[in-house]
Amino acid sequence: MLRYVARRLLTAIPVLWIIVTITFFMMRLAPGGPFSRERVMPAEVQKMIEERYHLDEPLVKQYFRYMGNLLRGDLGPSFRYKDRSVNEIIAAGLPTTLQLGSLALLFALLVGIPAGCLAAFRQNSAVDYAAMSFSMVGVSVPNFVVLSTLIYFFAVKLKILTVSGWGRWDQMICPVVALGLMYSAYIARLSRAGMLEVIRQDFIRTARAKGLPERLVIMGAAILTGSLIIETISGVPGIGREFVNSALNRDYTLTIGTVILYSGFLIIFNLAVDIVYAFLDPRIVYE
Amino acid sequence: MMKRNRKANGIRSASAKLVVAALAIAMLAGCSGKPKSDDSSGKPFPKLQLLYNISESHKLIAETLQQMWKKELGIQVDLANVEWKTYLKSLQSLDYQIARAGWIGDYPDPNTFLDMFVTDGGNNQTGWSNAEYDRLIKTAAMEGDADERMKMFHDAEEILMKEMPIMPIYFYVNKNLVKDFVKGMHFNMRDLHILKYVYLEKNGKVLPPQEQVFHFNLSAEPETLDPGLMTGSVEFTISTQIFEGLVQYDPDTLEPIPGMAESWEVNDEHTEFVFHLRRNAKWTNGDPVTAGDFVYSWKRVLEPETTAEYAYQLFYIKNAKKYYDKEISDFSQVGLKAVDDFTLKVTLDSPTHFWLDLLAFHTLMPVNKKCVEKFNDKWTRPENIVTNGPFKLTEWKPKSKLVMTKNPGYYDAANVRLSKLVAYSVEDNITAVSMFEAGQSYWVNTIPLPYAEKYMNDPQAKKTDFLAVYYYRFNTTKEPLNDPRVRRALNLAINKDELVKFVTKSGEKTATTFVPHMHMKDYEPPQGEDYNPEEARRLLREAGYAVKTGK
Repeated sequence: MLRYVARRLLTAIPVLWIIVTITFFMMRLAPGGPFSRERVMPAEVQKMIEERYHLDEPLVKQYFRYMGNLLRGDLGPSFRYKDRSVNEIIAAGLPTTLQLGSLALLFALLVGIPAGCLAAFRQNSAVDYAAMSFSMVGVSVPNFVVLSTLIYFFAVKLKILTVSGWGRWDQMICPVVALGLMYSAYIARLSRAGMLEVIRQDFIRTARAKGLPERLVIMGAAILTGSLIIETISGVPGIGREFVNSALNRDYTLTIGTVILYSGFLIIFNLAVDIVYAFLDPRIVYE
Repeated sequence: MMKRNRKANGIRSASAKLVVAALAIAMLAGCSGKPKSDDSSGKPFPKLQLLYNISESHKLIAETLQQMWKKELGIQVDLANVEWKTYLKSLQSLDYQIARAGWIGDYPDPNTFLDMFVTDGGNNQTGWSNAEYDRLIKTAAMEGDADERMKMFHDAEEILMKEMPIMPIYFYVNKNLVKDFVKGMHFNMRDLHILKYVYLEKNGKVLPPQEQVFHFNLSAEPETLDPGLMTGSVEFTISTQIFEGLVQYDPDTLEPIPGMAESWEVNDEHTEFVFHLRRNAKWTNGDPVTAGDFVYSWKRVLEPETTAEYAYQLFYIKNAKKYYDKEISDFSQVGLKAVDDFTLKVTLDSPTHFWLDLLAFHTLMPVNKKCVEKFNDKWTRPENIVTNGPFKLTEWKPKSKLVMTKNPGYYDAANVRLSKLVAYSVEDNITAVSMFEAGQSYWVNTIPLPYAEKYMNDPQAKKTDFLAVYYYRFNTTKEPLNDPRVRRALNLAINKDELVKFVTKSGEKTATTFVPHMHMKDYEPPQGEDYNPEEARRLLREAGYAVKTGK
């Protein structure tokens, strides 16, 4: 088992390397650059700045320079936020995003599992229909609509919560609920199905065969990495929004930094899924 | 959705009125035996493409123009929206036909608008070139006589409007939302807010110092707090509160008034300036602010290694550009001298009338040598930063907020009433309005389109003319837009009054010329052309196109 995990982690390195390489060159293919602005700089200023950031060098040379720094753990300076390095930006934003994600996951589990079980125990009753219609709504309404509605009623009208920011409970409720609601709906449906199997004495095997743990773990990964739109609307200083914004800003280094982060997450969660399988299903043995 | 529909109906009902009017005109024309407007001789007009960057308001404006062109001239225009950087790239490489654009002036002078369109100017981006125009702009830059200079700009703009490589649409309006208990906010043409004049007052009583805390939204995370490196208005808003240049702006008129310099002398040619610094100005580390600090700061901006994107603002100084280009390496040849600790002498290359205006700009604000050299790229952190303005930075939580507290060492601290500023960097402008409505912030610097009607007549909404113009660029290098008659026809077919009334809805003034002349009292703009669809059709036919208006 340990050998298997070690091998999987080792194969992750070339995967990450390929991802970084593709991202590096794809970013350079996108039109415009970090310093293209509406107000065009005089040519000599543009030239000096490109020189300073090594953007005038051949792309391959820039690539090796970047990879060299990366091996030393240095993600480079941000092209947009000139007072900070990419390492600093990620270090500052990641904990917030993880906090938002884990609270949303917790919310999803706390609401989803009891709702699903309750629905299963009272199958085809009013409770069941209510829970399942609610989960249908939760799955289909986009989270930014939920968030805007929560903010409007609880922060602007009732003034019991805060519109934006992060850290105090009254700032955290809206984004956590908005992010977690959709997943709670999924979890409710999955737990109802799972519970029904148990009730019908068919053992949990069937639920497992339906891919229950895998879906749960992948959901965990998705939820933990937060959400661009939730972070932007709620003014949560996380790293989720940089994933898209940095690409739009052509902040090359920050984009690659966030891509590495997210790929790392996916690799680890996929590994976690396989390990979970090994524990749950005695037929699966990893050499 | 409701609001969108209402807007569209507004345009539609307006269009209906126009159709009636146009029909009446057409009938009259028919009676007097003139040719009808749907004359089909001439070649068909090719389909055009209009480029804009993704935004709800640009989209609405583009759709309105699309309708107007179709109705008045029978021209088909496709709309193409792209993200910001792709849009910029398309403009620079002339990879477009018609594109939306906007321009904010650096100072209230026609030069900051008109020098864009000189041949091969980086901001021209229309491919347009006119030798007489170039000559006028160049001579105006060297001209010492103010009246003569304005006359040259007038003539230049006349050429610009006749040739029409760009089509002005309206002059921007600043839309600020401010709580009624906030006093001392000034609204000016640059939308620049100097918060040392602000104070909070409730029930006719000025709040005590501990309650003088001003919350506002910045609308984005500042890219940097280094005034030499800044480029945007978000950053300028912060630097205005924590730094102070040789001069500062009068909060209403934006005229330069004494800042770090108590007084100054200018020679008759506007080429030599001597500044006398005030002796009681201090950095937050206790050191006095000296002439040497300005020499250091400006030299720093002129070192290419500093990567100051706005370094060119200092190129008016004698030999500064040569120093930047590394043609000379001896800084003493640059026209900048600290005569003594409190006297700074600046020699310019040529007469520059707006030089004093530039001095209050962030690029020319002083930075503290000790601090910059000690902390390098970390000097702007709250724990390191040394500043000289009315407030000092005490907290900077990236993507969240900046906190500034009153600087007791500021020479005019006795007149600064706010004790704390809290600036949120919330990007979503709807959230920003929600924060305002929930009472968490007292000032928002924009009213997004969905709220335009709600705040139309609200006393909290403050609207002022902005030193900026919304316009469209034409790519003059390709058919059919290489013909000035076609460009003018497109302009004449736009009913700009309808556009600002039903689409932008914030009391914008329509623009028939390019320079926001209302901010320049000595400048007389040329006569622009108003909405005139008949003349538009005539021009299009003259250019050899068949005009099919579908009427």
